[in-house]
Amino acid sequence: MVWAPLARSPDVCGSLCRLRVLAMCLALPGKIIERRDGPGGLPFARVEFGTVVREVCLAYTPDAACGDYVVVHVGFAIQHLDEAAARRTLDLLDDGVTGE
Amino acid sequence: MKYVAPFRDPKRIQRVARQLAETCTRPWKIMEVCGGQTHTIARYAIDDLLPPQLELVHGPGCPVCVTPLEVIAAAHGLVLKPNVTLCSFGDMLRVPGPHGDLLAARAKGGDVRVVLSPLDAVEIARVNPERQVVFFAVGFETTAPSTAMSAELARRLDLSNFSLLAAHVRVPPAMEMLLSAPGNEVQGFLAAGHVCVVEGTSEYPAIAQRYRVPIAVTGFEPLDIMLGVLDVAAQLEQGRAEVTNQYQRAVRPAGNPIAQATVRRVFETADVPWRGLGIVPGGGLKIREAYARFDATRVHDLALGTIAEPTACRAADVLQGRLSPVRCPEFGKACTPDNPLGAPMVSTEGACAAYYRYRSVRRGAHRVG
Repeated sequence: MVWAPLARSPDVCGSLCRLRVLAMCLALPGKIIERRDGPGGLPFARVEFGTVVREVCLAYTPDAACGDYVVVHVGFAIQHLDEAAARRTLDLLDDGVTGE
Repeated sequence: MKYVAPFRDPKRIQRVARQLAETCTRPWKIMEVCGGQTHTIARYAIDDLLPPQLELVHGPGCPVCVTPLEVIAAAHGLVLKPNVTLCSFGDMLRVPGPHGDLLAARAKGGDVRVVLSPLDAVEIARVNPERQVVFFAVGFETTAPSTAMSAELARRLDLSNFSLLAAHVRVPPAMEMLLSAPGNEVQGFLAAGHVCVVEGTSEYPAIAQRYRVPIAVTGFEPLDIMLGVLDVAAQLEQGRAEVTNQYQRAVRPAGNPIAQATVRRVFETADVPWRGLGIVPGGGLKIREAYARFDATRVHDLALGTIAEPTACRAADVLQGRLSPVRCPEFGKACTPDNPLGAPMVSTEGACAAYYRYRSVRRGAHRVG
């Protein structure tokens, strides 16, 4: 069986389109490139998603620093991404011991 | 490191598919709760990678789809007021109500705005003090912290022209409702990863034990879905019913305590109606007394009546995993994304819209769950 992940997908409009369309439950990983203070004393940041940069509220990840990756949902960073955990998932799989 | 590409890597995904084929010896029915996962499954044709005995059924995890018709009607009523600006996410504004969708209300002079974040609605209120700005807030535990912070920010800015028409729902009580329904066939769950990013995993062990169902907290990339399915299938084969976390890069067991605290400050748990499911005990959030001045139902004196559902739409069956979208007689005929009969054909997380969008470009024989 040949399985071609994107060949069947009509969604070719790229990451900007994804940001606009997938508003609700979808949360995307982004990289913090600049922090700043926002209205009401809330911390904000410019966050990069591929080629797109968006303003994101850091009220729920106040320790996130420049260069960190966060999960962003409807304009809020809701968690740090854990690089070690991501690598562990991939390494377990690459070593062929997943499912245990 | 990259957080997207490695989790879409076809070689890794096919390796999991081979393990899954070796693992599965009997028929199993697994429900993915979240519409975002349904979208990934349809987009990447993941059901083509599953062994024939294994069936994925789609759950009620589409916030727009479960928002009651009477709340949509109340939003329509608000739009007709001359001083009200109504803001919401694009999907919510396109769900057909008793008088057409909310975007169509713009044609009649209503001030309706699409926003990407609840904070955008607060900003609209701040720069338009003469307008009463209402944010039509829907979503699961993932989205509730953002709505809660919009009320908190409005309080800090002392805005008197911002309020919430809030219809937030909670997922674990709905999972219990499905499991305890007569004729339930769901044997295992992929729990919604981004709900768990906020709320953690503490609510699931009791459900897994009580109903003897394995639950894998699962992410949204195709490799995430496959790992969740493999874990649940392996547990079912071995007779286990445990809660596992297959989305460890984003989900901590305790969730995000800061987000939880803000949600609890603004909202309290309540018995609320889910469209298609009925009243779900503890299945939603209502605004606390202390934030009553940001509650649009009080500010604008809204009465939510009861409205009959359109009969042609089988959304209730689709949302409970009892009917595959393509088996609905109206699918792709009277009901399309351009002319939806019901919410699941509107939302990017609705199962009907996901099937319509991706099934139409698939080649060869269709295997439908």
